[in-house]
Amino acid sequence: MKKIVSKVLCGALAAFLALGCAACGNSDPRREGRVNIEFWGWADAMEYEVFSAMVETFNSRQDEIYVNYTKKPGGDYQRALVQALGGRGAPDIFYVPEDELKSYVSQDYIYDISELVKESKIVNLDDMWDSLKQRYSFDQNTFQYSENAPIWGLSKDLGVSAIYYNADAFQKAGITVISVPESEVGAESEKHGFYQKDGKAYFNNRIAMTWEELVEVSKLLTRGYNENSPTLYGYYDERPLGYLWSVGGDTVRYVESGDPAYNGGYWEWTLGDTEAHTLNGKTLPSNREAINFWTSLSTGNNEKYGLTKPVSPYPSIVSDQYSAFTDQQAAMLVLPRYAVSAFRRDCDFNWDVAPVVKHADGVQAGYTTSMCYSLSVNSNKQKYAFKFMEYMSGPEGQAELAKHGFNVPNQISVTNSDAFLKSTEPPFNNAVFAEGAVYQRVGDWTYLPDTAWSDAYEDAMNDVRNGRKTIDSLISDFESTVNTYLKRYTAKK
Amino acid sequence: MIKSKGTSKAKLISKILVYLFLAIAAFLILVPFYVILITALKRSNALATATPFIWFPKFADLSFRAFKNLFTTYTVNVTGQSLILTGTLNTLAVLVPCLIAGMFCSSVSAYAFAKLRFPFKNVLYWALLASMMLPGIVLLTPQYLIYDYLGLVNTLFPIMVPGMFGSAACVFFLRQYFSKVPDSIIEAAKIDGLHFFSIYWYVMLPLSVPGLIAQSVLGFIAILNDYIGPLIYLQTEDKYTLQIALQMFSGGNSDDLPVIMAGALFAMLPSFLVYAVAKNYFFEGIAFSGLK
Amino acid sequence: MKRKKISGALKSEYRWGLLLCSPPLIGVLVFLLIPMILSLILSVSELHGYMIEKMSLLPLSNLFGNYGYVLTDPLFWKSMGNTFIYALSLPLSLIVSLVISAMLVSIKRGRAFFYSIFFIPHICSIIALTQVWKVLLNYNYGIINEVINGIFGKRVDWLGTQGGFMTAMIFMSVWQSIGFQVVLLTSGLSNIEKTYYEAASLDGASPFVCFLRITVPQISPIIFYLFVTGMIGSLQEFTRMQSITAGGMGPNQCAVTMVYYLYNMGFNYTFSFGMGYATACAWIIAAIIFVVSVVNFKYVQKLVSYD
Repeated sequence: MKKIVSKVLCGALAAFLALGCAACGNSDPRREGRVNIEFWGWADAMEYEVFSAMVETFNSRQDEIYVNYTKKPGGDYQRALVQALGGRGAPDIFYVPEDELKSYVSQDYIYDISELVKESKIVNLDDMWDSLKQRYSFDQNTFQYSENAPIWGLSKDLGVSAIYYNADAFQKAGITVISVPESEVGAESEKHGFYQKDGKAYFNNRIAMTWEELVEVSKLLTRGYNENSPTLYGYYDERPLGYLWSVGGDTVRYVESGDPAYNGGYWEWTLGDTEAHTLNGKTLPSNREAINFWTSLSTGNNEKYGLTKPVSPYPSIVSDQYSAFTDQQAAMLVLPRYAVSAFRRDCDFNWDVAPVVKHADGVQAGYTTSMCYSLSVNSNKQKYAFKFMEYMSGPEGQAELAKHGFNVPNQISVTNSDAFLKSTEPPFNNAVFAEGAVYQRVGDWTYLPDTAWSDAYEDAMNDVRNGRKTIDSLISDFESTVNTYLKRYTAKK
Repeated sequence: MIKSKGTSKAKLISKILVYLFLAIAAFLILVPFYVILITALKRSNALATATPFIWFPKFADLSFRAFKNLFTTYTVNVTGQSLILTGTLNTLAVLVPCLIAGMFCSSVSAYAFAKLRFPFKNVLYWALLASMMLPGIVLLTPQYLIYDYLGLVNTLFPIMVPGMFGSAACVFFLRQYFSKVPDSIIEAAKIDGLHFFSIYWYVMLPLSVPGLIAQSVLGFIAILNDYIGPLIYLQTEDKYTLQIALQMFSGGNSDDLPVIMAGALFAMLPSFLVYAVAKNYFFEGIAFSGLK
Repeated sequence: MKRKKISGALKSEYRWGLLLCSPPLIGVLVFLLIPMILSLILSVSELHGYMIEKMSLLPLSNLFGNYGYVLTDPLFWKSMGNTFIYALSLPLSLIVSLVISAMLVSIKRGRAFFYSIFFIPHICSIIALTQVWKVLLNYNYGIINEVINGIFGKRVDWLGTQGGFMTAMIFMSVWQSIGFQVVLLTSGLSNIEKTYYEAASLDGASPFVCFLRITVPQISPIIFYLFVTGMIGSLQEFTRMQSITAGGMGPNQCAVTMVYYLYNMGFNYTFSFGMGYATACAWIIAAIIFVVSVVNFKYVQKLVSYD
């Protein structure tokens, strides 16, 4: 008996070994005789399909260059790229996440494409959003943008953020959604993102709400306040930057200093500042008040409002936000444009977008995300790789991507064209993205070569939002840690 | 008489308690494996992630879909081959040469240290043993730089070749084995005109087969489950080993739980098979290491 | 004439001996000694990226700058704290293993069966196991939460909070390592001579006293061995943390162990921190391992009875 068992097991082992010996791969014959360009990116299945098709279009259109598109796993992309760039196996052209570019440039791994861009007949910098130029064109030593600074990459697209709202839930909660630009609204009292008139609630998806208005509309959509609310939570927002910027604050500040330990100055953490801001003669909340208000919107911290969904359990943070919206738990969700394709697939209700919230007396502000194509300094095929880059980043590639509902095109004219604005699928209110692209800013994760300083307190911030910690204790717990990191960036070695 | 009856009753109760405790412990060890199996067999992701967890799905809700998808859906985009099969193939490409060459080198070396006379024997032996004291982490960065310089990053070389020279621990283990062989056998072989290597090949090697197997199964598991080396050195999907393929799989390529569980099951399969076939060799190899 | 012949045979033996013993030594030389020397140089150098020719020694005035830099990084200290917390699983699993082993030696029937079940987790791929534990620990559908919910009426966010994460990882580590320890402990326990117990029971000692006075001291060398090797292993914990967080840092960065920190600095943030920094970090970890081992041998070993 034992013998038979062991024979069977041996056989299974042999079968397992044999299984491994599958046939070898086949490669595209068109590679022969062309300049082979290695292109690395990362994508979900949907985006991968579109990008593969675009690469195929490029490859079949000419017979000089062959682009080999390699999709890397998203979670591991950064490490794989760093290792390849820093070593000897760099691809010719690749995505660079916006928060990484500065550190790559500082170590001379990115090819300066200024000349290629200047000579290009396809790329027109004048037609590109300012926030993109600021991201990818900067001085190698100071990291500051200027018009003549070298260009290190061309943007893949622009992720303008917006409030995604569940239109069906709004309707069920008795809120009438209208879509009138501010310039066309007659009465002054109706120039609001949300207002009550004759006992009826109106939500205008063309005008940014104030935080007070957000609280009101969220109360209608939060079960804790309104028993008949169709959704559990009103609003969910992952980042406090919009509020901070709106009142004129920020998470960090550069301080010039004559201290010989630093190269001209150092960075300082300002999240906990208690000084009130002033803007146009009006007094606005301090950073700490701003962050305190923002965290108080969270359910865990619900003494006051308790409107937003509790912060989701790590590590499925992204998918959890998605599902909060798609499962109709949260009626409003702030995310960049990239969420659109997933929502089109997963939402079985009507939804659209509205501008991000602003402070009543503050400026309009929100964050954008982006990613760029860059070339390796160690490749000797930059001229050819750039041809592919300008195709993807130029009008044709951008129009193609816009069609599929991915991010906002990097070019102003394509964004304002019908290809992007007119859509047969939600979101229909695409003007929100086009307007947002003008005023929205670059996130604080791109300010410095890495994000070690903000990683340090990121999770503690979730604790604050879940009511396990106060903002004051967060500031006092992390002040010295965060400042230690910040001061390293400009410390003399 | 009565007293002994009482104690035998107490003994019986304590025995039952012992078995009960062990059964509970064994149950706790096995539950996760049941969860893998049943999740991998569930028909859809929705069933697998249902709350509360479905312990005993209806027969109609079971299917081999996840196993089929595991091999068909996720492919290496350069070659179009299944990711998990590519991983298996690469793992084998590392495992087989590494195990065969490594065992051979360790055992000849152990033989030399056990039975031959040569200068600096003790110094060399202690040097070899001392090498075990150095934590491997200090070698992580310099080794990577060297392999990068030689253009060997993203090849199987760095995870395969170092092991082919044999390991100090294995030499140590096999040397004990060889030392037990009486010198008279070797003397007899010498008189028969056998050479030093022939003595090893025809006399010592056959005697050390159980020891070799014990070390091989441990080596098999160690190489199969190696993670940090492949993680650092292998950068494209067509080079991934099974472990990396599995990690990448769940790390971004798939949110289909049954498929991830099917992948986990598949990755554990070789270990299970070897364990089932050569269970006692594991215990022997381990028990030895602790009793030295 | 005769002498010459012998020395000829001896010479041949010398040559064969050196030849046959050499492969592992060559391996040590090429794959250990050379990298180790480079590692020492690297730890006092600056290198961003992986091209060895770009490596430059730090100025003499700041030769140990990398070491200082590591030691002033708050995250490094946090990672050290995390590592030692995870190492708590070692004493826990030793206690559990000891109890299980004691029970195993007291029975005859089914011993091999239990033995082989407890060993299974030890041979499984850690990556596969972390995938499974992610499911078991899931907030909604994880069976662990289901049981807890059934008893206490609430769920624990195992992977989303620091306390939950660390507890879960320690528990998983115990679950995984008892198999190995049980194998060694039972083999030690079954070697204890019965006469000790017989003598003790004649003196009227209770089973518990027997266990503490006879069993534990008798197998203390094995416990010590498991403790020392387990400690060295725990201080180099990496795979589980990297795998279960899919490369992330865990809630409040509690998944970052020392080796994980080193790996991140060398292979994720090398452009900011550099290979020199990572290597200095590796030597600091090696020093910690060394110190802990010395402490073990110097102080803990006194508790071990060798007779």
